[in-house]
Amino acid sequence: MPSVISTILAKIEAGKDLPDEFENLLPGTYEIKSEWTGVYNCIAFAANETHRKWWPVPFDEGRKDRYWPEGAPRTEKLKSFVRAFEICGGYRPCDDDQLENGIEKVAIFMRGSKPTHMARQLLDGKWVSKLGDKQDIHHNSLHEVEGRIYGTVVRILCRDVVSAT
Amino acid sequence: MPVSTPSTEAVQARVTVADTQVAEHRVTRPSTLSFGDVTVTFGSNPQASPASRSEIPTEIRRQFSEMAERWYLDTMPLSSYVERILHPAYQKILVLGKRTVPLIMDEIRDMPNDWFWALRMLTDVDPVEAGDAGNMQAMANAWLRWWEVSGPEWQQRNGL
Repeated sequence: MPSVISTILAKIEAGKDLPDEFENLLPGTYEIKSEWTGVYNCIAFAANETHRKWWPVPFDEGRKDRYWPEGAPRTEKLKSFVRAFEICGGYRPCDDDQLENGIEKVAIFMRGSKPTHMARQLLDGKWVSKLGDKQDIHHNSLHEVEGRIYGTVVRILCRDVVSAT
Repeated sequence: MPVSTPSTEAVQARVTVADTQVAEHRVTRPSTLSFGDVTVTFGSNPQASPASRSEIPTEIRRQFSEMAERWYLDTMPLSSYVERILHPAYQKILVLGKRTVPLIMDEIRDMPNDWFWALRMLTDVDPVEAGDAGNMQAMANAWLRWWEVSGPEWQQRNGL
């Protein structure tokens, strides 16, 4: 008997479906860059990792299920994500999401009081997002993945590319 | 109108069936997890009826498939670990008990995902190395190795 996930993936032809939960992700505003995978998530991808999932799991029983940088608070709060990216990549808060030469930026999204998603800016000014266990996409602006799933952008962090770790 | 008295054997048979049905749905060793204003109670059902020991009952398979599909589709866009494991369909799978463990193994074999919390709760085992935190493939491999080596003994010990 096939697994449930293999049945789902067969139905949607992995990597070819439209990520239709995102109401602002309109045709022509994004490109799909990967197939579905549950191996990494958007936070890891914002930190340039593709071999594990990151999340500040707030209870001991689940901490082994996610990586989180040592020293960053394990709470689902904005400050935890800001601190994690400061520790792991030398990021600092910055004012806007505009492309700047020599600066790499990441964006933190929140729905209600909790962070939900992160995106990373590419050298051409576009953004890259991992949509949960779904695809990686390149999108023209942060607005494309705002909405009912991820909420809105609340913080932009940046770092000098030359000092990137 | 005369009331017929059932035989002792018939009464015993009904009691046995009733006990089995209760055991099927009993959540033993309940544990709770409080997170903010949400408290989740989970547990497992090690007292499978003798009739179900040789294979997973069709009804359990059906409920697992239904809940797992719901869980995958609802949580696939999400990165929040907490939202994923607190999803109602995931919690219902926990309530289905230990007989879902072989089905979960099939899931992580095909695509590593957030089944590790459920496996720990259902088996009381954790074969994952601390250094593999968040590494879904390494965690899946650790669980599949455990299943291959210790699964049969674990199933036997739990009457599955």
